[in-house]
Amino acid sequence: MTDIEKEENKSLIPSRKYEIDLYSDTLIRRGLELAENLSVKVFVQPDQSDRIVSVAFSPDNRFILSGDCHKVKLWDVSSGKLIKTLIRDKYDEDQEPWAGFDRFVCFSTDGQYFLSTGYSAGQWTVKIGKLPSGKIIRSINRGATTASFLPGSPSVLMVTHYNILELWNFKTGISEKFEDSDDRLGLYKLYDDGRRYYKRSTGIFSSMVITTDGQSAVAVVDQNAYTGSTEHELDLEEDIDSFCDSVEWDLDESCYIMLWDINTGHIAKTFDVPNSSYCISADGGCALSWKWDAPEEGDNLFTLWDIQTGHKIKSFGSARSGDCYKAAITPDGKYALSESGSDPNFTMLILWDVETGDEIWSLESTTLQINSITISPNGKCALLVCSDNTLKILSIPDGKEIATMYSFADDEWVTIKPDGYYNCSADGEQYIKVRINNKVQSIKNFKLKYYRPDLVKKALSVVM
Amino acid sequence: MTKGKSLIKNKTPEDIEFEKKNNDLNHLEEELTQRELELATLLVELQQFHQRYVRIVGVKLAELDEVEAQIAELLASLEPKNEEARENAFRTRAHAKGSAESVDSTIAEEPTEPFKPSEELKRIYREVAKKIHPDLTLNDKTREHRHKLMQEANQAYAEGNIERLVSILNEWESSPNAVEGEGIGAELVRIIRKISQIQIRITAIENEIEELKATELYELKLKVEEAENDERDLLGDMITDVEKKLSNARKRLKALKKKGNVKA
Repeated sequence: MTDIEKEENKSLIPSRKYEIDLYSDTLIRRGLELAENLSVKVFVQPDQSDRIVSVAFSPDNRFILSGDCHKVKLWDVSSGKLIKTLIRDKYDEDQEPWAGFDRFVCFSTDGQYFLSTGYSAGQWTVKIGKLPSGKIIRSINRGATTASFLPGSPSVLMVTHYNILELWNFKTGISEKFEDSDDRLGLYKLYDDGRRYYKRSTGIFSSMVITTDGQSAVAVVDQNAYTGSTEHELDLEEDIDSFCDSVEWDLDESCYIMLWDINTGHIAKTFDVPNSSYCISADGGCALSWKWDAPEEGDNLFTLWDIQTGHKIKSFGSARSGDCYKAAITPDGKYALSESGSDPNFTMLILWDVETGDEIWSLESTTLQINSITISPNGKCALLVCSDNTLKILSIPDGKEIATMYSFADDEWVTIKPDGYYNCSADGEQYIKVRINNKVQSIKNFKLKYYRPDLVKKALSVVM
Repeated sequence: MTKGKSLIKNKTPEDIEFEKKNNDLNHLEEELTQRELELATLLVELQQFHQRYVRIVGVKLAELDEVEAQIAELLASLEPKNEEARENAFRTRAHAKGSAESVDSTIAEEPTEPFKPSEELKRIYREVAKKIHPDLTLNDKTREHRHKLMQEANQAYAEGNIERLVSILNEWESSPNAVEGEGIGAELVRIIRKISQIQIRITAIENEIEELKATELYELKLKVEEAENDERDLLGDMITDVEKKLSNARKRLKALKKKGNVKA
């Protein structure tokens, strides 16, 4: 439109803006600050006594499993309710402080069963339970870091602490090890008797997904290995971090992807990914890799790989947000959600359009610290496990926070929207507080307004 | 019986187009008047909220600024060689002066009751806007007259003055400017141009409303209204908060005066 056309298209009535002078403007701004301090802020004090280690969405997006060091919990996404605690593992936290770290949870492809790995009563165990009752139908004494159900089969494929791929039929109890995975890759070994060894290696299986057709397993081998010790037994009291600091690391900042034929148990393909970090799409069709360190100006942040061919599909993404720590790819492979930050107190989440490499939205926070990102099977939301031990549900299309789920040692729970409306268990309100003008009080006087399970449900309906 | 020719004249394509465009125009006129009403209401509400806020909280903030300016000036006088203290005193005084002037000019305006336009007021405003809105004519000669009347109508609406709105309407209807148009062809062209003109105005109103809603004044108004819905007097709470600060500032000023051996 030319200037003349613009002039012609002007309305005949001049704008009647309500204009105020500079000092009135300042008075209003001060009023807003006062109002902000005086506004009612509903918040929940998180329980940080346990650490959420693993989460999973059910295939129909309706449920979430969260596994912390001691418990596995089943959540109803539609209402934000904690349905029940499925597993309670008991161990001596002083004597076995490492026991809670290898929790892994997942749903079966039909959503009828769940799997949990964990340590209880002196044993590493993999358990299969029925849903929603949580009744354990089979268990095997095995330590495992990750696992996946085979579609249409009562079997799970596990990556054990010995860095072995093991197929276990939980109906018959028969298990078989996959070819050539034994010993070749073990970075560290965590034996069932509680003894721990660190061992020189070429890498570990750190992630594994079964393809939708159930024919292949995609496993990523992380080569962040080191030299310096062939095998070193750690004392129970010995701190793993201190030990790792004491040896000379020889980091190979790359990983490789292995494609296994599940029917034969043989390796079908292996290809290198020259980046140190990665994630695999839920269908096992593609992998996204990136470097931790922010790339040079102009370089791309991410590379997308076709797992079946081992070929690079494309590179994309600028690095304006600093180092990239975590990322996840939507099941349709169209979007990637990354977490990055320039310092520990700054987190930036970015949703990328994989096709164009454009940023769809970004979210900056100085309070949010994220341990993991999981995208729902329908790609509508992301589940963030935060460092304060909360589960945050974020809308993928617009990056808006939908709700945060809190659970407590006494099995009470609270699910709260960013505007303070909440749903909670019978005694969950003891954990909900209100802050007005820096004074904290109980939710009691505000319950009538903020206890709104209907609003929580409505907000969460976008996830379905 | 032979079929005779229909006595009803078939509609020409111009007639059909005229009817269609006329229909579009009527809908747009309705929308335009509704939007004008929304904008006029929002402007009055913002103006009245601003007055209310300044009268209740602004006055206290200006008092606080005055005491803080006195503190800064006293500190500067206690340390005559301290450049920073002098600059701070100067800045704080300018700020207090600005706040006081802003408050004075706002409270000098006639206080008004909260704006709650009646349905009758809204109906007559819409009727007036539908008749006299400057964007409804293509005639340059009458446009200025319409604009002037529309301004008067906006003023009358803001004051809740139904009588004045009715008299504007009567004045317009008896005016020769109210009569326009000659022949269907010319009328069709006029309608098309009016439609375009009205669409531009509706977009302009929407932008104005959007801009007003993006102001901090509107944000503050919303917060106060939200609190009212929760049966909380946010402005009252704000006064309590500012009064606490004022009380502390006064205590500090008193202590400083004592220290500086200045008569309170």
